[in-house]
Amino acid sequence: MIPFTRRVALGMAAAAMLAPTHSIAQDFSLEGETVTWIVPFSEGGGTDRLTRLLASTLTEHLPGNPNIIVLNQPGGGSVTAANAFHTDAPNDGTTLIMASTSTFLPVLLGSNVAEYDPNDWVAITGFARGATIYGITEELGVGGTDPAADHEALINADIRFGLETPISAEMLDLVSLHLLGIDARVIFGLSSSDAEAAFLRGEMNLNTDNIRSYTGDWGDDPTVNPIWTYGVIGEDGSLLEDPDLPDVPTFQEFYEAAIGEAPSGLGYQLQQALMNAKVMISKAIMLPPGTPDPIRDAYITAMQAVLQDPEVVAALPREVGSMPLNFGSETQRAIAAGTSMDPEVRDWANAFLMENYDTSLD
Amino acid sequence: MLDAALVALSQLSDPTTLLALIAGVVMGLLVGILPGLGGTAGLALLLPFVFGMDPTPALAMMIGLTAVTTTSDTFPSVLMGIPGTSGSQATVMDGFPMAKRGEGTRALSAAFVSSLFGGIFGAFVLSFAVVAAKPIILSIGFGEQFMLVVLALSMVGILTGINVWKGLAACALGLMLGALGAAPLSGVQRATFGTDYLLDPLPLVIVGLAMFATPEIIDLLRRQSTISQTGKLGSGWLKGLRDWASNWWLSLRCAVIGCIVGALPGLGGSVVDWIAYGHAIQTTKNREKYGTGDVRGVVAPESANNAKEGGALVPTLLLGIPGSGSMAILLGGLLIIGIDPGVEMVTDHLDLVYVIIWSLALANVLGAGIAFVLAPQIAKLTTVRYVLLAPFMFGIIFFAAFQATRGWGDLIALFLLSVLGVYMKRFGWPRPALLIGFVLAENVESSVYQTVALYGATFLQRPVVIVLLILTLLSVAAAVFYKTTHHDPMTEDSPYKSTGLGPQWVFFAGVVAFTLYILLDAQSYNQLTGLYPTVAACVGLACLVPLGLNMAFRRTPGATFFDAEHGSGAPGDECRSAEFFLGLLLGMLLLSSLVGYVLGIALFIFLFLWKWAEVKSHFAALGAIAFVLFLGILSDQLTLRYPTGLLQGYLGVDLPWPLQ
Repeated sequence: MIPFTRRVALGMAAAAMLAPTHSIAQDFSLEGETVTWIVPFSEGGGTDRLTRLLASTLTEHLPGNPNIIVLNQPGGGSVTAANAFHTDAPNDGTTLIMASTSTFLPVLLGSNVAEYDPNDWVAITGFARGATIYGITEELGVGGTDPAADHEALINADIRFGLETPISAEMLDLVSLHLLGIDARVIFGLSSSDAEAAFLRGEMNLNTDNIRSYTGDWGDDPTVNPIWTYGVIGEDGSLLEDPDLPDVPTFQEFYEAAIGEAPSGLGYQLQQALMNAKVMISKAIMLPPGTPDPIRDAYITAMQAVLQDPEVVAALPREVGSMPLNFGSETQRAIAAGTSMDPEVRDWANAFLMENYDTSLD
Repeated sequence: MLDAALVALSQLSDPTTLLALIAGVVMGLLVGILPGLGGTAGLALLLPFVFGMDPTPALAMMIGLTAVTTTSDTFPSVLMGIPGTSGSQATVMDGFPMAKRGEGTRALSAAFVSSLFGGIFGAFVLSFAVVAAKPIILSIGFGEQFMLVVLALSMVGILTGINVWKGLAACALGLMLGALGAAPLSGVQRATFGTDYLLDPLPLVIVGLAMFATPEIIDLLRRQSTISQTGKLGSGWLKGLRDWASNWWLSLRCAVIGCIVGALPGLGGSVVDWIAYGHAIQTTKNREKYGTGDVRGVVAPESANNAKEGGALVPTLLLGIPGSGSMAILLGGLLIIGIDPGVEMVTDHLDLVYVIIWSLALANVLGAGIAFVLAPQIAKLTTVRYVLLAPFMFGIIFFAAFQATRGWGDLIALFLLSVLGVYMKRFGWPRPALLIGFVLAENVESSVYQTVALYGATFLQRPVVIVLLILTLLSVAAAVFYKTTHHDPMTEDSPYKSTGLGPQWVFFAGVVAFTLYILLDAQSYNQLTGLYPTVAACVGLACLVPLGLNMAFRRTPGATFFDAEHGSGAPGDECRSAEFFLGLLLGMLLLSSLVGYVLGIALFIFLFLWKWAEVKSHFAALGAIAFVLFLGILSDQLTLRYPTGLLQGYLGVDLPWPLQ
């Protein structure tokens, strides 16, 4: 169900050209080198933790066992570091970046501060991470068993929903609610931990988070119910249930049960592009533009080994949940889908933002 | 509960864990001493080691570090007038004048006992709070947070200095500086002056250094040969202890404030020292002594800033919601070692909670003990010729600023804001008022909007809001009724003279121009983005207009006027001007833009020592080399890349460690 756009086509073409040849250049070695792994966020956050978890094992699997250092370059929600990475990073395999949704989203939304195109970067591995929207059962009257009844309840409920800004990864939730005709009182200026605190206090009664945080904080709390997940896009392009919350309907299933037909139209295309950016490319390990194939292939091979390391396997669900990983061209395709939007979809997004939040993407 | 506490104590007495704790404490003391590095940077430093460690020693190490940064940050605050972390900015106000008077040891001693007391008190409160505080924390909603911010802002009243309009205008200037960069409600970039740097708001550490560090260093360079005016150190150890003992009630009150501010959402830890300092002025006698080296002005913030850590751990452990930047990293560290904080932690892993509490208490004892032992040696710095220290101080504050976002923008922002700080000092604009306004800016903007959007006016019916409202009114009343009587003579032979106003008008015009720019810029955004800067700028204008009218029409000396270059206390003609030293700093930055920060600062130190301090050239070179090694070691430990210049950029020269 990935909207097939020019950029997707280009991405796929590029991916096809870059497909592993299985004749990895034997002479590529990083012996004695120092590899700098840029984390465009501060220490201790999710992206940083995942990077550090992988970095210690990666060195064992790279040819020449280089020394790997993790370099945190926070600023502008990863945009500052990404701008510098795009223009300055050497493409000899000594510099890589751990990009995240925050890196891809400004490109999807056409923000003028992002002076990079991640489709030029060379993807190694992508990490999908599920997301869900959940609410206080009693206040919203959602039972989590019958989407049609839940939908009815949500339309009549006084929903209070806290998030950071209208133009952010949480735009996915705003668009999804809008498509379902659900009105919510939206309070801005709340980071995800502020929003969670307000939800905990009962000042908010609807919240959104990644699956890992949701199950950790609320998984066994009967007063809080997940309403839908955003699912995961399978290999054949169809939307599947979230592996961590298989019993919760995906947004599409919820929509079909509530409205009586499958979601479609420009708004839905926007929803899918945002879902791609937020869920499918939650994190991605990337090399700079123009990195030669042998280097890319060496990294893919190494990363595949890292992700089978028992210690990493044990710790990974804690960080990203249990969604399937993707590599190389597959990651490149997901990035293409999550960073491009047709002009009509963009117009729809602008009208939506202007009408509801007095703002636009331009 | 007692069982768990004892089990935890026995875990902590394990040699590995104890060693980890000591390592954490030593690291914490080091990052606390270095201005700009605090608990946040220190914990970031530990994270790589935490991977693969057992939970108990890892916890002991991380807590050990967090606990003591606010103990050792007193060294630069008291001895150099440079806030060691943002938690000890208020300590500078009275601690540094004490050091200048030759009472550095006494101030340090009082500060360390206060830190020790505050830290232990925080651990004590934490041990009860983890089982009982949840309902209290959850009762602090948007309305309560809004009132907390208002209460904190009302502290400005007592810190406005002798001219109310200048004080309020300085606060408004802080509120406007806080409006630069990404708006908290919409993410839209406001008033960025076309730079990428302002994609984020200005970093607090840079504003703090620019307000306090640079103006003090320059002032000292101009006036004095050593920091201690007597050139002596004084033996004040016992005196400092007695100072604390006779102010134990103040210390206890401030420790309570520290715990509360740390634990409650809405304010964040970085204003806790100012709130404690304001509280001390509001509730004690002889308030005119504050700011001139009153030991109570040291006891209050130091008691509060160590107690804050115990308080901040409450929501972090209990709810998994970090109350500050360093707590956010600690939370990351906890996740790394497989602990998921939240209510289950208290029910399922109570022993680990007690490991944290014991570590916190023990680390405070160790930290204060080590600080006591080191203090006499370190305090000797105040008797060293200041020209020998100054270039290193400049090097350190620019290094500290660079920690904020690790880019060139940090150095430029520090320089520009330093110019503001230097002239605010010269023209008697209270810098604490600006700082409080700046720190609270984002909270003011978000909490007002969130409260109104969610509750309208009904938030005033909430009981906690009413209590906070009464406290605020009391705080304002204290400021109005007990206004400090001023003892400086206001004559034509003082800084308050009514002639020679040219420079004051230029500065005033600059502030007005900035305010108008913010106002104009704000009009190009929608309400969510533009309303706050509009209001802040209008408040600024409302304070600037009466000030301007006063300046224009008053003919006699008075509090309206102030220029430290006038009067008998001013530096004589033989002193170089402040502009000369600002020029040197600009020169250093230009040099760095050519050859990179490391070589730039090395050359600056060498030239400064050799030409200005008239040190023999080989000793000057030795000083510069030592500083480069210091930067090199830090870059290794902290994985830093210093700002590069044309040499590295366009010419592509790869310099070897530690010169890159």
